[in-house]
Amino acid sequence: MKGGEGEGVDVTDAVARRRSDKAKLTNDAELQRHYARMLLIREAEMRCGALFAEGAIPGFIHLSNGQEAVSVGVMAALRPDDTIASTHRGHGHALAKGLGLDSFFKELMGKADGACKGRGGSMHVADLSVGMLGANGIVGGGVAIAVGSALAHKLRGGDAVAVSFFGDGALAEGVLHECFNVASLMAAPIMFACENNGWSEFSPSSAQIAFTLEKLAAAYSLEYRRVRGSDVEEVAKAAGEAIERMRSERRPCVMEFMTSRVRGHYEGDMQRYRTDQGSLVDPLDVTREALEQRGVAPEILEALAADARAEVEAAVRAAQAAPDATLQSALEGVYAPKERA
Amino acid sequence: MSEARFAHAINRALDDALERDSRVLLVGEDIAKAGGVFGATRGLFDKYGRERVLDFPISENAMAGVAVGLAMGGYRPVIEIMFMDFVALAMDGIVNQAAKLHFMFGGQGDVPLVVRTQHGGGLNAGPQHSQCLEAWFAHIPGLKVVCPATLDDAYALLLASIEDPNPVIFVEHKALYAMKGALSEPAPKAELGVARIERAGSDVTIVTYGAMVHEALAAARSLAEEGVDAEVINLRTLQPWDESAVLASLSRTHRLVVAHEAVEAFGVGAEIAARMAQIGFDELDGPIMRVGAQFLPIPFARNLEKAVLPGAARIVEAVRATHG
Amino acid sequence: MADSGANENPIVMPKLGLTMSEGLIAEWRVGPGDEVQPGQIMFVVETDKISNEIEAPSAGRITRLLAEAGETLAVGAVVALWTGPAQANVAVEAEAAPVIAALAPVRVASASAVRIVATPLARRLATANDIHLAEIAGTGPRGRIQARDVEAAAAARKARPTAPPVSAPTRAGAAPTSKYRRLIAERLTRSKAEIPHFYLTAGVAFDALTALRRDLNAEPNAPKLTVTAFLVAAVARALAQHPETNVVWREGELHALSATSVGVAVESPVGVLAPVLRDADKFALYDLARAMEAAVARARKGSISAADASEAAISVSNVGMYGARSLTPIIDPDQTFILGVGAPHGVFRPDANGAPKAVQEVILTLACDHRAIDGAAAARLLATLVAMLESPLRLLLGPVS
Repeated sequence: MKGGEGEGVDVTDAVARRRSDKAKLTNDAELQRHYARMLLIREAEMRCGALFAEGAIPGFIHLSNGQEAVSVGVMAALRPDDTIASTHRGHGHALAKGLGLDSFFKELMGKADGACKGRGGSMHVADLSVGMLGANGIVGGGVAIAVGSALAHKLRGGDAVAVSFFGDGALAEGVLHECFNVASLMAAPIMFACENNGWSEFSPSSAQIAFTLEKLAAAYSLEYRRVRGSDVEEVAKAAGEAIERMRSERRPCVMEFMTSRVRGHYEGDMQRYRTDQGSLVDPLDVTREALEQRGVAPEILEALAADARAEVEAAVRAAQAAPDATLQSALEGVYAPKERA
Repeated sequence: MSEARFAHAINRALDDALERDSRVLLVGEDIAKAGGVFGATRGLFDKYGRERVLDFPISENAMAGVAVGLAMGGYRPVIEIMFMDFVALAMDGIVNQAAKLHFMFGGQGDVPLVVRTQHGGGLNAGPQHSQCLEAWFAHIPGLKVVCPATLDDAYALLLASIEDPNPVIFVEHKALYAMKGALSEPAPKAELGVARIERAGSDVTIVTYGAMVHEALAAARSLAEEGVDAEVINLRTLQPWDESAVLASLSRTHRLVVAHEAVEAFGVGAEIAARMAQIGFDELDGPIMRVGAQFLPIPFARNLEKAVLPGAARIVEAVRATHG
Repeated sequence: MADSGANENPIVMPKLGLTMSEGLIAEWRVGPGDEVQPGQIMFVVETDKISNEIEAPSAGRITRLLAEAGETLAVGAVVALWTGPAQANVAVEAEAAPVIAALAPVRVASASAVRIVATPLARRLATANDIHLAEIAGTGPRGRIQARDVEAAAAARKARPTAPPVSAPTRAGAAPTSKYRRLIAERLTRSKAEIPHFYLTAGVAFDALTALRRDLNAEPNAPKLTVTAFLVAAVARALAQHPETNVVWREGELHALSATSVGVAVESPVGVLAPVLRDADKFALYDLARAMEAAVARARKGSISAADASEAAISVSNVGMYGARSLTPIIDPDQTFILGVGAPHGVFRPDANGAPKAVQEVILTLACDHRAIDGAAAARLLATLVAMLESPLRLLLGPVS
């Protein structure tokens, strides 16, 4: 977000034009990077769906198609020493925070050198080295962990922050309410990032949630902002501003990103209950149109897509060739060895 | 040796841990200024301040999860769940998060977290403030469970728990806090998973832990008058438990009683009895007996609570039953 | 309770004999939650006559025990609940069951009647010391053999290396008195006190029977016939010829029995047992011998089936194999006669010409209940019996119709 917008105007037209071009170029380049990351997440998740369908990935797979702009936009504002705790729909968060594609696919296929040695799978992908504290199989399960992480940042000093991603379904979990109170009370540097896709698993959230997040935040004296979650630039801008404030002021905030869940609750969900397909907004379409309007050539956009496909393809092949997880390793991995303490 | 009470031993272990390791934090309800409901954290807030001794709102669910986040963030939190009954509110953080993370993330990180809590009856605190729920946690891979019986246990085991890289459920007995005793000098050390023979004997092995150790010792004294020489093993750690120590004792005495205050059915004693029936089968010269609370919630009324909770007399009866 | 529900059916106190009205649960062999297989012994019932192992008639799970060991319950009372079929009654309807059907099947489960209860350590020590657990009397609950019993036995053997392997109490004064021993004591004391006994004695020339038995047993494929088998067959046939003697005295009245049945006294680990061979007159010698062999084998293990407990007017007690000259026995309190049989011995008897002739003779002593029978009737019965035993070929004929 270090672009040229809003800088001084006491310059000549020519300079101003050049600067404007440069700003546009900078914005284009940044947006292209966002787009490339979103494409990568989309491509990876579409491959997940296909691999699940052909049986190469077992278990429960929750895809975040339609929510990529939130992952990419928020993570654009974070540093490696910032931490996030994610949800069962966490592929996008993990990849955007920096989990490698190879580790990702190996984990989902249950391979020995997957991100979690094949013990966690899709619902538990994690990479602590990049501050990704794990997807979580328990709705609301990551929220308290993120608050704890934020408190750790605060106690340690410095300006690192934590982000807790959760869906609108988690608004009904008691722990979230407790955490709002705790974070507010203890002034933890945490962003409660709600990805509101309108669905609480298999039911519309309107049938499950009797309040608005805005009012809930107010009740806990938490700053609140609603953002169009399908626009990666808007997400990045809003998250960037909020996070900068959290770094300096060391206090929590709530952000509600309005998104679409394109796929079912998990792969294999027939979605007979869905009636909202017509209103879904694809953040990739939004971003591609923005780039086209800014004059980015279709060949460039196609090249970005091709890059993403190639990268995913290579990772999938590496994962397929990798050795399976072993029981011996799992048996030895239940407790941390004392030496590490 | 210095005369002290059980609560002082806990307090001193926490004090020493805070002193030695700046990563150690205390988190709990009313533990700061108030010093904890049983006084175990008294004075520590004044000494270490609000950044080391954190009062937490009455939110056990969040507390457990927050502690996991703190542990993943490089700290070594010791949280206090005021009564063991309240762990029911904190189960997700303890069981689904803390116990699983090291394993589930492929060993990427540790969760050096201690959950201090207290169990047991004897104070007429009724069904929701008297339970012994340690078996719940001993059943969960990834958790360790510790239960001290003496002042030395309390001090040494708590320090060992804080130093352990895994989540440890540290269960104190509320009736022990006021127990007087002596803390060894120099300060005792302990290793998790190692039992101790509190009284050597040749005729029967009584395996127990926590406050029940004292009942077992009383039972052993009374059995000695009948000419029965009982060995009393203080398990100290329930998960992992010292299987080899129990088997070695059984191989000497050939009779086994497992006693705990927790409800007998599906309890820690069931596991020990089952394992010994399996690996110690040929050593047995009588049925393995269990002593535990009857199968009902701990009732309030004095006479009822007294009737339900097991004590030395029930242990003596069980020992007799092993001898036929 | 988790197990309660519509699938529970009662297990009742079985009727194990015509006169049984109540039974004592001596022991449970199953507990709540146990899965039982058909034939598995569920509990042991003691009546004043017998100790009886009650088998599960089919598979099922025991859900609750409603009676405790030591409790006496009326026939038909519910003793436990299980998931097996309703009317799960193990009572064998004695009057309907023909002898062969009741006695012929091999009772697989009866092996457990001799199951030795010992602790794992005792078993290990016994193996290490090469001591058979069967030689040891357990001093633990239910006679359980514990390490101390094995150690005592080992020490005793060391002290007396030539001591025969007989069951003996390991400590003076420690001889356990079984429930069954007490029962025998009580019943026979009552018999001797209540029944006006009188005795008839006869010598039987046994040469013909001995020769016949030798010839028959020389047949390579034929089952071996015991002296007792001939005796029981003869007694049954004699009794059938004198139906007026097939009676018992019960509660101040004379009762005629419908079946001609004979009891056989057998030495068992728990004391003397007398399984009854029902309708013993209706079977050929070999069939009867086979049935008797099965009943005797059961009794030797201390086990008795329901049919073994049928009512009878007479029992046979043969101590000839031990060399006793004669036996003057005590009548079973539920019967009218008991025949004591001694060992064959050589005597000179006058032949038809009055010349002395060496013969093998067996002394029969018939103890009789004078309340039910008079001397003449009893003497006629004995005479018929003697005649049959002295001309034993008749016993090979088919059963009297």
